[in-house]
Amino acid sequence: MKKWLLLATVMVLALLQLSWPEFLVFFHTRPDLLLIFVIAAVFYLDLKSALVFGVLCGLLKDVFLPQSFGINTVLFIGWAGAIRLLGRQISTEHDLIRYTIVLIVAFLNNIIIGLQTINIGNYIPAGIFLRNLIVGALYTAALSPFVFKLAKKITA
Amino acid sequence: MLKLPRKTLINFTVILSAVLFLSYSLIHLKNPVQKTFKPQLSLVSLLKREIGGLIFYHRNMVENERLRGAAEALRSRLFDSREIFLENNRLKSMLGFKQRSPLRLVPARIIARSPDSWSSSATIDKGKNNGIKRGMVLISPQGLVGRVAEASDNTSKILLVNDPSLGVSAIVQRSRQEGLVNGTLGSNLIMRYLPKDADIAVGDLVVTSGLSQIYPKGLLVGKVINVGSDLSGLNRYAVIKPAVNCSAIEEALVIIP
Repeated sequence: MKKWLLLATVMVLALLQLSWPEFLVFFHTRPDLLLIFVIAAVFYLDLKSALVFGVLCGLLKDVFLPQSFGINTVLFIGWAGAIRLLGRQISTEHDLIRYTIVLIVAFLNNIIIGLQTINIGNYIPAGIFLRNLIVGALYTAALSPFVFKLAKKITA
Repeated sequence: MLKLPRKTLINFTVILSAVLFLSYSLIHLKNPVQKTFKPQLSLVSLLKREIGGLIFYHRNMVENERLRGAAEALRSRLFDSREIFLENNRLKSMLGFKQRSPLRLVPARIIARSPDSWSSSATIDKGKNNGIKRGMVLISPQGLVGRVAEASDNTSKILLVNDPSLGVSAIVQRSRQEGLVNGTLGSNLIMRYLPKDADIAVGDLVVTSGLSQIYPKGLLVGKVINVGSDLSGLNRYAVIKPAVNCSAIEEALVIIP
């Protein structure tokens, strides 16, 4: 039952991300709700389930992107594993630490996807690159408390 | 001949005169009397209203709630009809364009947007079943919208004109100067590979050149808003405001070659 609820939440978050209202788009950036959910899954579920949700969220995101390979699927699985490893080294019980982790992961995720976009020959002005990198990560981190709360309620 | 007693006749005349006098006086009395009584009447009416309000408090409360609900419903209906009105205008304009245009066009609706900030793509509600194939061009009555990146049976992924991976061979309409227009992920496009002495100025219109065989010739891409030199100083570039607002577009027409 809990798993079905989590699945439904993933679907709702994906739908929300795909039809994110224009008035909530700040500086042409939108938050990565699916990334937040994957990170929340690492904190509130066992590693196996978190990885499954990582694959699911990554696939959902990749399906709607023009890139042909599943960069987000790979990255989401990587982040889930990395955060679990990090949890063994430092305490990740405090909410603020969790939000900081979201900020760092969103920032790194943006760097990788941004650099990959440039690497395939696309031209992105430096200002827009930095804007997407910084504002995108901050926006994602700012919305993480809501997604965390939702994930916590469902998994409780 | 009818004979009336004298007394009756006098009485009738007196009463008639009195009535006439009164009615005449009333016209003149009306205003001052009303003016005098106005404050008192207002006070009484206020008291009556307040007492009525206190007595019928519950009834008014229920009625207020009902009216609030009705107002909300009407507001929502008004909003819906405004949306329908705007949609109707857009569709009419597209239909007019479709009928005027010599190209074979399939109208499509944008149903989803890019899930991240690193690409400017969207999903349309038409796919292979509607004759859509990869590489087909999308336009709107305003100008070039983008290109189909992938087509499935019922939907297609499209790259909007401001996506950095979309390159459009274009010319300046006035001087026929060629260049390559790319998206920047921002609200403007960039026209690159312009020679140092390129004849291009702010306000010039940029249209597709038709050289790449992908985009039909003469589709409006946008308007030049800034011209500059690149870091090497060998080439110039132009910043172009796209004719189509990619973040607000809801419908587009796919060109079937």
